[in-house]
Amino acid sequence: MYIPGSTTSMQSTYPRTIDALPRILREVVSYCQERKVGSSTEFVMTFAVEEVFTNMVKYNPSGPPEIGLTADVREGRLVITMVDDQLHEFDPISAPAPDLQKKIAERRPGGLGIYLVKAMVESVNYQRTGTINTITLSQSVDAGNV
Amino acid sequence: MFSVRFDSSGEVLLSGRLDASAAEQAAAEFAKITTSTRMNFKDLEYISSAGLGVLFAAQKRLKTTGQGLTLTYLNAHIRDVFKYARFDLVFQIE
Repeated sequence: MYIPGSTTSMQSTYPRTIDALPRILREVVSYCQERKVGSSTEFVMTFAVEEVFTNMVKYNPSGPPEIGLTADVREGRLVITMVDDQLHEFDPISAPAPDLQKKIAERRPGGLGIYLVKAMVESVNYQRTGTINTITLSQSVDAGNV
Repeated sequence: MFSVRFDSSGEVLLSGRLDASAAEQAAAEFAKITTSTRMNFKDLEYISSAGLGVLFAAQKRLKTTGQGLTLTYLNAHIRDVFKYARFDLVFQIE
């Protein structure tokens, strides 16, 4: 559990269930606001955390009970790392882009979340070490703020 | 916290955060919409792809009978998400 004001970085683990999402998002928002991250970066990174977390839950339902998340602000960037012990690779970078030009009757919503993460987050990095999948998201703290 | 309110003029007002944990609730509320409707996003702070999926499904269902949703007062962040998702091709946005 992240306790605001306790440290300059955030490090926590969350149960592998969608029900954990409100707590995760609340803690990421709290961290962003405490570290004075701009509202646009807060929105984009919260969005990215949700998409990566829900994919980890969805595609690795029998994995270990917890998923790790760390967040840090360094050199003007918010860096969030999510770690999952997973038998299968989960490389969001290689996921195919959905066809967004199709008419509504032909369009499928699947694949949109990770596509949007790659479109909106400045840096998305995937690393696999043994069975550990690590996804690192990085965004300038004041990117595109409105 | 996410909520949906149907006001007396027929407009649907969304508020809070439409994330994956709220998607089921949103789907149940949107299923009540059967005609062309204005959906007011003024108090909607956040939407994720799960929320986009629920909106998309409602629009797809309405379009089969020639109806549709018009989305109004999107905040700048949500407007960006809609732009990247090319939802301007799916919804009328004001």
